[in-house]
Amino acid sequence: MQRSGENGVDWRKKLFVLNRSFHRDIGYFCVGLILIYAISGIAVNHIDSWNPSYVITRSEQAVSDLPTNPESDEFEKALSQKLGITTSFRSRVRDTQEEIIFFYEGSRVVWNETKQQAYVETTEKRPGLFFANYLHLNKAKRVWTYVADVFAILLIYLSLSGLFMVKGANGFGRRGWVLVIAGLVIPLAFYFLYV
Amino acid sequence: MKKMIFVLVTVFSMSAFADKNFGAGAKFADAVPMSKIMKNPESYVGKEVTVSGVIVDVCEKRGCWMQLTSDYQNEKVRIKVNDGEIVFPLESRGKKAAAKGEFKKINLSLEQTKNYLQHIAEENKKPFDPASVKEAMVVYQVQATGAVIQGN
Repeated sequence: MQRSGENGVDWRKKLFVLNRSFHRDIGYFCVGLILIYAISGIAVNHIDSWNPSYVITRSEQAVSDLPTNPESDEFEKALSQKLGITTSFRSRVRDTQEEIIFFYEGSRVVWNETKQQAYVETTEKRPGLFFANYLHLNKAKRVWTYVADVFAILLIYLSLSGLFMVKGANGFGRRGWVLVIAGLVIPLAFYFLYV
Repeated sequence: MKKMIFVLVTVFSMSAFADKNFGAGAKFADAVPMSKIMKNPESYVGKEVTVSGVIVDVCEKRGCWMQLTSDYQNEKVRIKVNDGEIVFPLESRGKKAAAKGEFKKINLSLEQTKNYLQHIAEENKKPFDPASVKEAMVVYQVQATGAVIQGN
């Protein structure tokens, strides 16, 4: 009887150590993705008040001494030179009777013939955040869908294995369960109040 | 090592020039001119069509719609997708694209028309007077399930 009891303790001790080791190593492995998803989460949460992926700059300026035909290549070259646009030209589109849109790599110029004014809009990807949002919102699709699934499964494992990391007064059985319930109350309260 | 770097650089360069498919994809060759559709739009409502043109604008925050040029009275075609299913990249403005999906007719009330035009004006930073709108609009759009955007 004594022997089997010792074996039982051994088995539980081994599982405890194994769980800690897995939790530690998977935790290390997930640090990068957790940060990417968390930072992107904050950024995307506030999408109504800002653009989390792009910095868009708008300006308006009068431009003079341009060739007469706005639909000519000569005009486009002169306009981009005057506006200081150095990126490659993509296309031009007649938008309305008085407006032509010129598209460049990273910028768009709306030329108003009547006012002789250019409305310039430049678009830049936010460094780091664009990529984080690209992954978080799964714009990549395909293989990334499965990578994100595996990551989600690892997060589930980390959250559950975390419950059994500590023994004693600070363990799940004594103090931990109270905090777990406190954490669950927050989303449940929102559900009952708002949904 | 040098060979490997060369191969990687070549692959990345080629991918930048390749057309980019979204969702179920679409073919430029299948595109129906908007002028043909608008001759009798009712006959296309509810049917799958492919349209193409230059991308004039893209939803800045969510990439959930884009506007293409058309050959019909300087009008733009609005391509709408379900949020998140397809995300049109903002940096694709000025490129050629084709989109495939259901051709939809949306009858706006006068109030909706004012809101719609105000929203467009705000996005384009143009002045707008709601009192100038006297008639309700009909908007046609393609609810896209697939699209292709020309590479560099």
